[in-house]
Amino acid sequence: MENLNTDFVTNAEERESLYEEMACFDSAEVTAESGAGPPPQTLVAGSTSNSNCSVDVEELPEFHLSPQDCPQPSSTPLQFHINTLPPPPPCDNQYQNNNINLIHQMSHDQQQHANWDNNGYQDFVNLGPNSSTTPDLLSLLHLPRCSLPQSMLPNSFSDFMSSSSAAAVMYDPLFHLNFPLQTRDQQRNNSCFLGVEDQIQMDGFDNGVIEFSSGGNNRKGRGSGKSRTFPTERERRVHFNDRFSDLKSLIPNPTKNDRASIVGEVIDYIKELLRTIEDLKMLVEKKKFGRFRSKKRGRVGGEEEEQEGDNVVYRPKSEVEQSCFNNNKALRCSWLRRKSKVTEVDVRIIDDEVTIKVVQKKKINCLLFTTRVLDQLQLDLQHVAGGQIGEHYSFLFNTKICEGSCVYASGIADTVMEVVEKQYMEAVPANGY
Amino acid sequence: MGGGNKFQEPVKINRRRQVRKEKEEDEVNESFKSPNLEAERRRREKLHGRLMALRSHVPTVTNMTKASIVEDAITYIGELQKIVENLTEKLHEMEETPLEIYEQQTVHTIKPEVEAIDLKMEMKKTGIEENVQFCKIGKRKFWLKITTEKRPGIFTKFMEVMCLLGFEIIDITLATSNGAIIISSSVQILQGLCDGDSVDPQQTKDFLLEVMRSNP
Repeated sequence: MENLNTDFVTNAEERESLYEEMACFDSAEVTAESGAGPPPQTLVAGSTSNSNCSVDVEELPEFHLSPQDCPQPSSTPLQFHINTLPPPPPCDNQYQNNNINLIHQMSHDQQQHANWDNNGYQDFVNLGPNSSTTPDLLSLLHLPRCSLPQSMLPNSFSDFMSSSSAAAVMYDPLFHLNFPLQTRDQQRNNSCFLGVEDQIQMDGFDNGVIEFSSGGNNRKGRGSGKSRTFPTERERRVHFNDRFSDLKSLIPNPTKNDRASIVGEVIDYIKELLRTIEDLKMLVEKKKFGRFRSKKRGRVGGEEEEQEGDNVVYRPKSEVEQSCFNNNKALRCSWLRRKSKVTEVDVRIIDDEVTIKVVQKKKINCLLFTTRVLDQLQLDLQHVAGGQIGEHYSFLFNTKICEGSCVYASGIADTVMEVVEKQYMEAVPANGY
Repeated sequence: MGGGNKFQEPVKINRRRQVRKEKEEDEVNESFKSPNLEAERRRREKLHGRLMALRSHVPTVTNMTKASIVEDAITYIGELQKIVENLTEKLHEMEETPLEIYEQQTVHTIKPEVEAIDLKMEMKKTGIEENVQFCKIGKRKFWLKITTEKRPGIFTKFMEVMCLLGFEIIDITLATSNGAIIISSSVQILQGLCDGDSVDPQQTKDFLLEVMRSNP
């Protein structure tokens, strides 16, 4: 990255030619301010400076690269003064007008962000061809500091004053050159960039990068530093790693500790949660519907008089009933899996049939405990198969949900898992029976 | 980083040799190079791919950075868990309303009896008879097969009897059909419990039959 930048390094003639090509509001500013005493700070589109300089957006890449060009460390927070500009010189260049708008916007932003000491990425909209869109985008941007070498100024002024043509083509080469800069930064998590910036910051210079701000998303990702909570890249990384352990604590079956598998398990868990929610919703609605229906048809056993007393908190409206009816037709479907070091429980529900698979390392009579749990959950056994395989017990249960029972997949799995795990842990090592 | 390594991706066999070669070439140019470049790259890509997949499942509201993907996932999971909690609470509430209890009392007491009668009749219809077979197949191993009427909790009872007798299940199959249940299993006497010879097949058989017939 540094290499790329140095390609831009200050070449007076180059810059001059750039200035000539670009019509910039700066010329207007410059003329107004050149007579001022202490050099007022002016806002320049795409750059901030605490010296009286007008710089094009395209200038900036050049600047970051060569810290030695910045003789002035500026420790003052960025301050921008909008100089009351004289009305722009008559020019039908839309670009100039836009730039002036930009200046105002930037100053406004600037006053909001007083401290731009470090690491400001300049996300600048290319003020060239798309200048019509720039005001909106720029209002999102923070402006970093940039100080131009004094030596540049005289050249720039004269050049600006002489130029009046609209900028167009010259932007492109530089713009393209910026791209690799951006991607490499992103790959390295801006670490190198920050290093450079830190160095430059001490020189009072800011590393700005010109990029098309794509809705502000990239900007936030790349514009770290004091604009966020973490002052250093290392802390940011540490915080990021902590988040992974948070994630791990959320999922029910944490196995490996490496980031990739944590993320994989999180994805599965999210899917599982969504399925569980669907399942539960369906159950709730079925209950409502069933209740409504049972009220209507009266009681089994003929004790109908008593029923009228308990009344209807849940009188469903017709729409609800309709949706319940529809849901009753839909096949209920849900599955999930719980896993621990010694046990694995897999539960699948289709309609009213539940298939449960239990695998456990051979130590206790897990079949006994599982069947007890299944009885508790009112699951009607249809078929069981399994036995010892090597060091494990593996059993598969096909069951049916009794009518009126409202079990759901995660409930079944959690209960079975809990019981079986507990018994395993509590068992005497020698003889679990 | 390591632009010259592009060419070694398709060739995996000579990867190590090539890496070393490239290393020598690039040592001069690069300052950051890990010894297992390919593995490291794959690891990074794997993580990156999974993070993208995670991102696609989560309705993020913030940035696209890795950190915010993870943070958004955390909040999203928290939300989902809350929803699940609410729904389960609601479900349990609905179960406990007086209406439900009443229903349970009437419906559930009636049902099993009705069903039991049906089952017995079905069994008779299809000619299935209650039966217990038990025999020795090894030094400490036995085989058994039980055909009986299907009643709620009968399998649990069977398991408890097995445990009581000190039998360890080697394999087991249970099937139901027409109101009957058939359990077929190979069992083994637990080690150290008693000698296989002391188990009397006939006695065990009778005991099992009695247990299976009895009502809880």
